[in-house]
Amino acid sequence: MAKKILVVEDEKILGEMYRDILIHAGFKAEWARSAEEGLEILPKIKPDLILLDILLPRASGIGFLKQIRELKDFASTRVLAFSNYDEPTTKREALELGAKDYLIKTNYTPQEVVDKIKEHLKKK
Amino acid sequence: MSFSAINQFLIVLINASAIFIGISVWRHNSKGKANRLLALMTIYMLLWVDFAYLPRLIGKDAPDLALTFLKVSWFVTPLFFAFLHFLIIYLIEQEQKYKWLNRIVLFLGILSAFITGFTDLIVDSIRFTGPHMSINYGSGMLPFLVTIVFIILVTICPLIKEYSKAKIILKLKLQYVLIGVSIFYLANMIFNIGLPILFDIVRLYWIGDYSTLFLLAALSYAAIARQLFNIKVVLSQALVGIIAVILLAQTASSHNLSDFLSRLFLLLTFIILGQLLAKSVQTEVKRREELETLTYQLETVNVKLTMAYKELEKLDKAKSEFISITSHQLRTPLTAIKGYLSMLTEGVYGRVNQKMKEPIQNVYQSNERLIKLVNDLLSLSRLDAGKVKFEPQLISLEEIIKDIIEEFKLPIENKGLYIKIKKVKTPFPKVFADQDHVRQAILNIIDNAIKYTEKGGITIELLKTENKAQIKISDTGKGITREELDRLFQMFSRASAGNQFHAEGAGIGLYIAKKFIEMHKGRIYAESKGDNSGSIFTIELPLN
Repeated sequence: MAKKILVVEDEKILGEMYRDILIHAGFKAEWARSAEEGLEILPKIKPDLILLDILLPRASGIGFLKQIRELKDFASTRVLAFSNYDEPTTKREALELGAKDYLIKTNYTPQEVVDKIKEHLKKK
Repeated sequence: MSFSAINQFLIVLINASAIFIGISVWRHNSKGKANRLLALMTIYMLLWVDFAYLPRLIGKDAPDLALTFLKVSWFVTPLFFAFLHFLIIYLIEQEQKYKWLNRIVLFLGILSAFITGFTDLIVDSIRFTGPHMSINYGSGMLPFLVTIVFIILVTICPLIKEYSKAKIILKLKLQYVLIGVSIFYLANMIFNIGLPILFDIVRLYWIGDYSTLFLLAALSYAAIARQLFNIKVVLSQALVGIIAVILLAQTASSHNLSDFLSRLFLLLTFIILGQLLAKSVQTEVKRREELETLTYQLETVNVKLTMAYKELEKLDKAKSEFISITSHQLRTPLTAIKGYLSMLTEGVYGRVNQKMKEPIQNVYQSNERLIKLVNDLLSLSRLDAGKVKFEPQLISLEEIIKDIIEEFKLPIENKGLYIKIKKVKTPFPKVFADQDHVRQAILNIIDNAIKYTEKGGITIELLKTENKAQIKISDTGKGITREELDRLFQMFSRASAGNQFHAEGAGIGLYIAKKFIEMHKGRIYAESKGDNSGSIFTIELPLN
């Protein structure tokens, strides 16, 4: 059965791009345009992994991460922080909140992102 | 010396000092508002003090005249308080704010003055008990006192408010005003109002009257700053002069020769010692003035420095935030270009023919250069601001190198070069280092090697000595001349081959690599035999 990925990304052009490549790679992908939208659809799709942007309008990716860690069903859901904002403090905060990795978007092609997702899904 | 003699002496001294202060203030700047107000206040003060003293001097011999003199003194009092209010409001630069209050104070001052001077409502009559004079107050005394207390409050409150808000330099100035005004008000409340009216104690009235001198001295100092410091010198000289005159008079009135000689000796000794005293006061004042000037200059510089530092801190913070946000904003479109181009070439949106693949790859390569430039500029700004975080962990150099080789696959293929990593015989130990920084340093060197190599390729070798890990990156490129080697790791430095063939390098990659490796207490250096002999870059990282 196809693994489910939730992409939380406010940039339309990037959100569509990652959703397309994930679907192309055989995943079931959903795209949320904000942290609020992500929290809303989270219980419906119950993702295996969340690809989470950090600089989001209103509630940030860090805020989203804090909130899902308090939800019983999603406290241990795999999260890959994914941003072009690479302040070391933010990076450390995301990792402390249980993000598996903090990827800088420009350093990865969409296919490389898919490879990273596969790699993390394989890990127990 | 009797009490009356002391009083006479004090009156002379106060008159002389007040006249000196009044003239000094007037001469300092006769057109200044503060100076005019102060000069006027000096006249009021002399009228107040002298006409309060005269009734006691003429005593019960001429009671009507004594009462008239006393009323003149009391007539002046509310006006003096009103003018003090105007002066304080002027000194704290709040005239506009308290415009209406000033008018009310002026009205109350004039009204009180006229009621006091031309009716018996305040001062009804006087009586003498031995050498002391007592005043019989009229029914208007209480409203008169309330008026005076009101004027005092509306003067001191704005002064305290402004003093608490003032910065160092203005605070110093207002400090003198506040001290002078406080002494004056306190002395008046106790000796001119409290004791005579509540307890009928009148013999100490002069302390309240004469406290005006402190007030005038403090106000004058604040108004014309340090120039009046020599008031101390003049006062000490005047004091010596007055005592000398008294001693001279005593000498002249000697009854016999021995008396005359002893008084003359006393006079001469006093003159010599007095001169020494005046001179030492002069020296002390001069030193204090110098010290005050230096302190003032130092405080001014300090205030300016503190302000400049705060401004710099703000600018620095704003710059860091600006760079972070700008980098993020620049990277977003670059990510989209990179992503869609790679998906196009990978056939996610359908098959791309060979003819189209090449221009797509060219755009992709140009985009990669832009991404690298943004990354380098971001690192540079962080290095510049001292804000690079160092977060070491155990990392695998082999994995980082393999990852970078994968990243450079396309430009290597495009140039027809090779890139290889020499197999390590035994597993290479992990090093304790900051992954991002080491990665960027190696990436910058390999990027440089690709840039300067037209034929052949790049070989990466991992070596281990007793206490350090070495990463050797050799290329078969243009090589580096002796002169270029010396300044290779400086900012904006580019090898001459770069000027000929590669316009895109900004000359900051090696500088950043060096800084990042040095953060690990490591070393980075280059070797080359010159033109067309290739070059070897070595990174050394401590193993422990």
